[in-house]
Amino acid sequence: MPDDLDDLSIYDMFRMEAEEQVEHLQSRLLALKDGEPNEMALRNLMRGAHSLKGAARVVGLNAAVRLTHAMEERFVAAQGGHAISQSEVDILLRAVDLLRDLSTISENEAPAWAEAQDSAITTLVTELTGDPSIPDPAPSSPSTAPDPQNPTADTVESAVTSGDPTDKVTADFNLRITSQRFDRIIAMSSDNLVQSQSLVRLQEQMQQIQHRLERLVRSVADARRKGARDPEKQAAALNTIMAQGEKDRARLGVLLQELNRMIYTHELNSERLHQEVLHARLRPFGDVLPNLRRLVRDISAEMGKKVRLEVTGERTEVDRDILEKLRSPLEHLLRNALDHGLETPAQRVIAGKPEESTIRLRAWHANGRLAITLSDDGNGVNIAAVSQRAIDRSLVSQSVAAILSDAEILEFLFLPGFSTRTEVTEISGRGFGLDVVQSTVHESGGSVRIENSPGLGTTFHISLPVTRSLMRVMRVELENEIYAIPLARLSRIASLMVTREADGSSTVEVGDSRVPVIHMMSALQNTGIPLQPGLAKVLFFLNEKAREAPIAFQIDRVVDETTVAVRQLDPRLGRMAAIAAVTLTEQNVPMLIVEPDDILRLAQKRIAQSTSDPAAQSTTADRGSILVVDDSGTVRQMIRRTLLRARYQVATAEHGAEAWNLLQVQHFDLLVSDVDMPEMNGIELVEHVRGNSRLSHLPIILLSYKGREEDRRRGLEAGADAYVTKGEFQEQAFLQVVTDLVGPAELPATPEQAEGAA
Amino acid sequence: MTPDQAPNLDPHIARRKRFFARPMPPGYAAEWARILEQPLPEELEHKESMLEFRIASLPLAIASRWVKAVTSPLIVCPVPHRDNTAFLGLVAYAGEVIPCCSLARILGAADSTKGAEARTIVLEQRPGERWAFPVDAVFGVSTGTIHNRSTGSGPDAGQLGKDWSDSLFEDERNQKIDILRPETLFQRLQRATA
Repeated sequence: MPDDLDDLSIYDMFRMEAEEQVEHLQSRLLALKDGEPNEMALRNLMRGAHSLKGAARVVGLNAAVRLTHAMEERFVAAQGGHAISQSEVDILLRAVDLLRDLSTISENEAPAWAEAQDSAITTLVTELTGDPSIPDPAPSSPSTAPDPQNPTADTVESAVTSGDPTDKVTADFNLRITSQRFDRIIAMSSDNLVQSQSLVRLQEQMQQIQHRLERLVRSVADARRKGARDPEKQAAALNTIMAQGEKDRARLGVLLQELNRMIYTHELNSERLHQEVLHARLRPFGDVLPNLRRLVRDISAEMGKKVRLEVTGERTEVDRDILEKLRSPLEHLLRNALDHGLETPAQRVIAGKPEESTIRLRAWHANGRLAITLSDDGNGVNIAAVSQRAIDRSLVSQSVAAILSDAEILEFLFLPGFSTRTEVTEISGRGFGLDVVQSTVHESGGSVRIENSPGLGTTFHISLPVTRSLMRVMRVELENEIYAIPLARLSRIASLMVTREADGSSTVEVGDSRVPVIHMMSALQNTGIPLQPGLAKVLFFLNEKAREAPIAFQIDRVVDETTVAVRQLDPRLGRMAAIAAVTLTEQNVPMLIVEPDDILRLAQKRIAQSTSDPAAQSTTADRGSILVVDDSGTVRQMIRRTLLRARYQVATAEHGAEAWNLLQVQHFDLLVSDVDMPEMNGIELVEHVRGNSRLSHLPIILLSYKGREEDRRRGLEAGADAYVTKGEFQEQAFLQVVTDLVGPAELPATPEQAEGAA
Repeated sequence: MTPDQAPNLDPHIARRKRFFARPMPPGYAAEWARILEQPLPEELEHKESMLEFRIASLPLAIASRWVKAVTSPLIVCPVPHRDNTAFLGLVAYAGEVIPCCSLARILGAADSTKGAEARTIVLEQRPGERWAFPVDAVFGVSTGTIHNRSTGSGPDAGQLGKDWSDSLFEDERNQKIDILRPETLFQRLQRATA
């Protein structure tokens, strides 16, 4: 019998989700009641209703599906401008109250609940949509999903709750471990405590020996002083001292042996404790499968499609926190595949495919990370339709759309509210599924990308850390500081000959080609550290973007390879370029963990700056190019002139959406954005940028009249690098922040800049 | 406890009820209302516990309730791209990683030295939100009188502007030291960090 029995039944999981979503819906609705509704709040409400609908569908609670769908419809209408009145908020709160029951009733009680609440739900649906006949599409079917053991009596629950209830869902989480495991952890912690007390006793005994040795030293001095008068007494005294010294030496030997034994035991026990705690967090990937299988079965039946779900890697271990977060993205991807991607049996036969579609879900560990692919053998994404939809929604102009690559066009699918569907069904088409997928995966420190084969299917590749708690790292010394490099992203370390090239750049020979080399600190600090020709220690990162040229990083010294406990960076710090996280050394000193993707990007930039190759310099031709976004023309011009005077190149946009369009087609080194703007506000713009693989590293300064700490925190948590308050705007301080983020402008003053300076 | 359980108390309860049930004398409620309406006398000075320390030649005080710890100088881990501001880097205290700023640079004073008396002060703005900054010396915690400059009760003299300090602390040795306004201090620390 496995000892980690927290495999709750599907219905238990549904109840937990219902409890969570109901609380979020209620708090957000109450916030609507108190203040002006905003897009973010409505989007969160819509997501909450949508998620709860999805969960209810999985357990076959069609009455709840009907109600949540009606709620979702109302939130969508509100986004379209049909504001929610106070009386409607009351209706929605009544609906939430009704849904609250779902977290308390058992699976057996659910049908009776649905029957008893049928008329109340119909009334609510009518009040919300004006149409009592909102379809109840999911056919009620008995659950065929495996019913895992229910170990609730054997579980210990601890809840960590923080912050504003309207904050991100991720703020709250529950960690369940079995009472046996918990008892073992307590026992091992107690062992550690006892051992610590033994160490104190050992320390006392060693201190006693130290005192005796001090006395012996004094006795030797005393005997030497008296010895001149009485050599015999001196000899006797020295003999006594020697005997005592020998006794203490022997005792010290015993104590050292004891100390060695205790260190060994302590290390062993700490390792066991560590493993026990770590394993309490790891779960097999298969834990998410029952829900997914049920979802595929129900939706495919509903849509008249024949679908087989093939899964490999069910035993792949994943941090339970990450596993929990994976549920919703995988459900969204499956819904999309079932609704958009897969054809009906008739269509498949015409296309020369077997009647039955296949969705393949695979999980495995690759380079120390969790890799997941979800592929279908459907139609694939219609690139032309996506492009046209983007044009229709004014996300991109026709001329720009024409030059975008397929991969760039596919990125539009990750925008909030983007869907090629003209009709919204209860399965998909609302268009915020992929947005949720991307943001959830990013929150967990991962990435997601689409691979499209028109006519043959679509594959989503998700890469995630196996655990966010521990990481194997290589510690390296750079300019007298120690940094940790994630081992999973390290390709190799070698001693190679650095050569100075004619254009002033430095290279190392790798195989038949010469690879640019840069001191890692140059990339980290964005400063030039000259490399001396000769043998040097260099490392290479695994480059996930194979099309990018490799770069060698010179380091001063390899310290060692070790496992570190990863700590997230304090959100007060904002985003730190090239730094992924922080850990503590054995000496209790913070040590920064390098972000390989960031440092590769910074190195490419640095190398391009230093080389005389015009092709390489093309990427930096607009170095110091800044995009300023503000709906106030006055503020926009003030910032623009300030930056022009400092010799930066400046482009401007009136709101977030315009800025987003510009960012798609033009390179910028820095984004300076207002927060409160029409179309797309600053926070949303930051979220878009951070969620975009090409732009995710763009430095961002948020500029706002809102100077409260919570406003600042919201901006930084969204991903801004700095938050500057307009009310306290000081030109020099602002320019200092700009310089810190992108370095000084090195371009000669243009006529426009001269004019700006005037 | 009921009268049945303690019969001897019963007469007292009855008397108390009668006492509170009697009608108020004329003008009683109005007099109370008048007393309560009167503004409280503005507190000109009061006593409070303060941590006294020195940055360069500038003696300063901060209310002890904000101080989480005074430690020997903590090793600062510098952060790339952030070395050109008052943000010094990260320090570890009690297993936590805390942002560390130079209050000397924020105040525009000479930068802290690494003398034998140097210490690091850890402040806690709210649970879990800590800040650290190095100082040149810590004199200790003492309880003394707070003189509010705005009420004119204290001396005008002070080395810091009103934004930074609106009151002086007079310690047990009758030394008068600028008290750092926590609002300004935390705001500037936040700004330096972000």
